[in-house]
Amino acid sequence: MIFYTSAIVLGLCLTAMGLGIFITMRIFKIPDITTDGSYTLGASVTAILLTTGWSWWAIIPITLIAGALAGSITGWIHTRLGVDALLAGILVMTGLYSVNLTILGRSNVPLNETDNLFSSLKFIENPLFSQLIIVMGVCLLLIFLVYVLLRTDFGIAMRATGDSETMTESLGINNAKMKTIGLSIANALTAFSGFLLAQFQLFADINMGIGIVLTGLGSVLIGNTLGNLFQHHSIFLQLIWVAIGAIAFQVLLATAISIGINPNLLKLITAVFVLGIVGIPKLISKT
Amino acid sequence: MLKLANINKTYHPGTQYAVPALHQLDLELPKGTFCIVIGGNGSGKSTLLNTIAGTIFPDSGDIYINQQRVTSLKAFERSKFVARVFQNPHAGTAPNLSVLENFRLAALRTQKKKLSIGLGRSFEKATQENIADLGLGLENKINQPMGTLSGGQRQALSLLMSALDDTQLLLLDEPTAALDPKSSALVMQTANHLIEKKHLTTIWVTHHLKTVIDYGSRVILMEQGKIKKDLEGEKKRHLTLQELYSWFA
Repeated sequence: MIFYTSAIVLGLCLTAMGLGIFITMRIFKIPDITTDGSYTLGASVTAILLTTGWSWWAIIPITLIAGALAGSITGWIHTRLGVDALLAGILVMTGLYSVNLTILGRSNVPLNETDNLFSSLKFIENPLFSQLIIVMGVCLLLIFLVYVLLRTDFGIAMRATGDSETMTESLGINNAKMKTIGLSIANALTAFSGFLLAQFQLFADINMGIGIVLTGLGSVLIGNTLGNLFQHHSIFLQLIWVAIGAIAFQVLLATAISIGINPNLLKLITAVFVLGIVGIPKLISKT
Repeated sequence: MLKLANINKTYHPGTQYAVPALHQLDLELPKGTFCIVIGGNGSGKSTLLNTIAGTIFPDSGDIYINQQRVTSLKAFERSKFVARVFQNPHAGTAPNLSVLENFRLAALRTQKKKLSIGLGRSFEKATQENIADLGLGLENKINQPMGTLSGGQRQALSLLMSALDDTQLLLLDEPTAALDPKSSALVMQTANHLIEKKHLTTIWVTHHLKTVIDYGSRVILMEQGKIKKDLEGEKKRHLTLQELYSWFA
């Protein structure tokens, strides 16, 4: 039970990133690999500021700005220099590895000794349930904020940009600027997942972001599949499905471990899961 | 209203594939002119339209809208003056957004898209009334994704969208080319109705010679990047289909 509850908390921590991937992949149709780097960036900034005595709430804006900066660099490379979005993301992600290592100073920074979001807000005896309720609240708040953003005139313009650039251009929307802003928001959300996760697992590690973009993609795809299954297409429900997808993904991984699969194979399983979600519908429709 | 001065545009300049698309082109369009542009393939019609819209920049020459030089403004900056309807209905509308959201964006063409929610009841009601004029029953589908509608329906809606915000110049690029005859007639009538009701300054590029007879106050024939014929007023009104055919002979 504790085991699966942890998986759910983990899924909720990663929901922010899922929302970010939703923005890049579903709204802008851009495969953004910056995620791997900005996730670790968020965790690194959090770890180093916590150990130097900052309060967790003061770290939030710093993490968001750091992530947004990473995203805007990818956006700038993509829109201004005309580099393919995938390559732009890989470039920034690779560069961020060194940045993150410089921030951390070593490959792993433990956070056992510092106060953090979960220890400060703990309000019931059971630490795990306390964490569960905190991240649940945080996720609902994030989903609500993203939802409101996407409903505003600016948000409609954002969604239209991914849909038809000819149209948005003719309606006075600067597509390049819009994509850069979208990538910034997405990576700020991803960095925020790093912020949450570092405090949940009580360490930041230089390698924690490897392949994390797949987890995000998986969440969005599971969410999308479930959404299609239930014929729910409103933006709000789509965002809820992303959260459910993120949780489902972690529960699936936890199940894999609990039935005795070697944890070293976790990345392979993640990749196969995502491949399965993308590929199975194609296989089914062909037969 | 619109003035083009000595516009030159060559594609692939300096190579053996160089194609002169517009050659020393001058054009002046007074306010309220409904100008129809015809010409063979490769005559420069689309280049002309795209140059005015700002998706193609001329090699030399200047473009003025309301005495303001807009030559170096990008397409999204020129949208303050220019509304467009595209040949492909999919280009002019966002398929995954609802009809209402499409209309909201079009209503803000010349304005900033702010971080405030503009999809209120009053906007919804105004949109429904606007769409009801088409007589297609689409006013009950405003919350449906645009992509679920047919090409003809989308094109009729994008025409309405083009005139939602302050439109000084309307550019139509063969808006009926992708449509069946029935949808085509609907779009044609909607366009004409809109242009006459709002006295829009319009440039309508078409291959459809009947359009020239039925609509417009001026007709221009393009050939090899130049204006070959330019008729308006009485002369335009007395133009016959036969004469038009002879232009292409």
